[in-house]
Amino acid sequence: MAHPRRVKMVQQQIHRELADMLLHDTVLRQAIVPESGLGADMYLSSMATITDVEISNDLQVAKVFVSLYGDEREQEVALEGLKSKAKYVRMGLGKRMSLRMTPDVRFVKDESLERGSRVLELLDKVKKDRERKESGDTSPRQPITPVDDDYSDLDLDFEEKDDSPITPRPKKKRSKSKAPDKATARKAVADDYDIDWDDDEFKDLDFNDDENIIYIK
Amino acid sequence: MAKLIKKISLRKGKRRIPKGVIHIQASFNNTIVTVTDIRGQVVFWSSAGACGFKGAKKSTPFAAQTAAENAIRVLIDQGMKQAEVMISGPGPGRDTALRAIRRSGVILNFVRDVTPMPHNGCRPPKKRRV
Repeated sequence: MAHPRRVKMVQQQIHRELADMLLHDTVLRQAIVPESGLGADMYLSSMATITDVEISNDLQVAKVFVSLYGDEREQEVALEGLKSKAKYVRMGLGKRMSLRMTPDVRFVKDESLERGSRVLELLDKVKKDRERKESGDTSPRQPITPVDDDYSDLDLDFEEKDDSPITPRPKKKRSKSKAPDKATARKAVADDYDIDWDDDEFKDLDFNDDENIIYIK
Repeated sequence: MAKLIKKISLRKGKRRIPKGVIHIQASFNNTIVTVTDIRGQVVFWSSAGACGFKGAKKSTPFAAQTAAENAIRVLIDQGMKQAEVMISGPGPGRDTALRAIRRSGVILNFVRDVTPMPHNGCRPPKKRRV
């Protein structure tokens, strides 16, 4: 029976060594993420993290709790890969640590983080729905649209400061019967949706311009 | 008359960044979450220690989650919609911080692991004896 303090120290050390092995050891990484063998190891599809290590009092059996990130299938693949390399991991651990007998390593999937995350997600959703109901907003939730590749915020170019007197931009003549009045159109739409019209974006758009039509063949 | 003004260093104050990079450095004792723009200029950072945890509590996954949530609050204020995540280091905070970012509704372009890996360079520190 080892001293409880020693057990704790060994537990912490095993945690560190295993985490290090997961990161740096190529054999293990290929077992967890098979794509890394093809060279795509930087762009992760799944990730394994050791959250906890439980070791028995006589330092013979170590239960390693692994939290997996990724799809269902990838999680299965990663766990299977880890379990198949249990003996290799034990050998590696024995090389790195000087213990009389290296503990037997057993990998267990840790679902607590995933479950906790799901619960928090649901709680956030409930909170948001309640807030929206209280503010009286009944419009449907808008999905997040991906942003275009716009690097205009990088400030890489020199910007010209124009000191010339301001001349009004020549506007194209639009007949009043075609386009509706901006103010009424804006109001009609704003009642349905919660959108702030940004004038800078829409100033230059000319909906009557036939050149902008793209013909799809 | 047109004057050329170099605007890179003069820009200060709140910028709206639609795309950014989130770096998560998860060491054994702490987790640091840094938010930068695409070039790498830091916008905001938060860590487990900055969130009020001290000592052994900094190295827990919950502390990493709090740090990530702190950083995300600022992200959403800045209007960031897409982000790329770069994770580095072993540590319990990797998973939970990533999950917290996922939960917030920001679209994740990539999740990359950028732990520095030497091609057998500097000598590592000596082994800890237990």
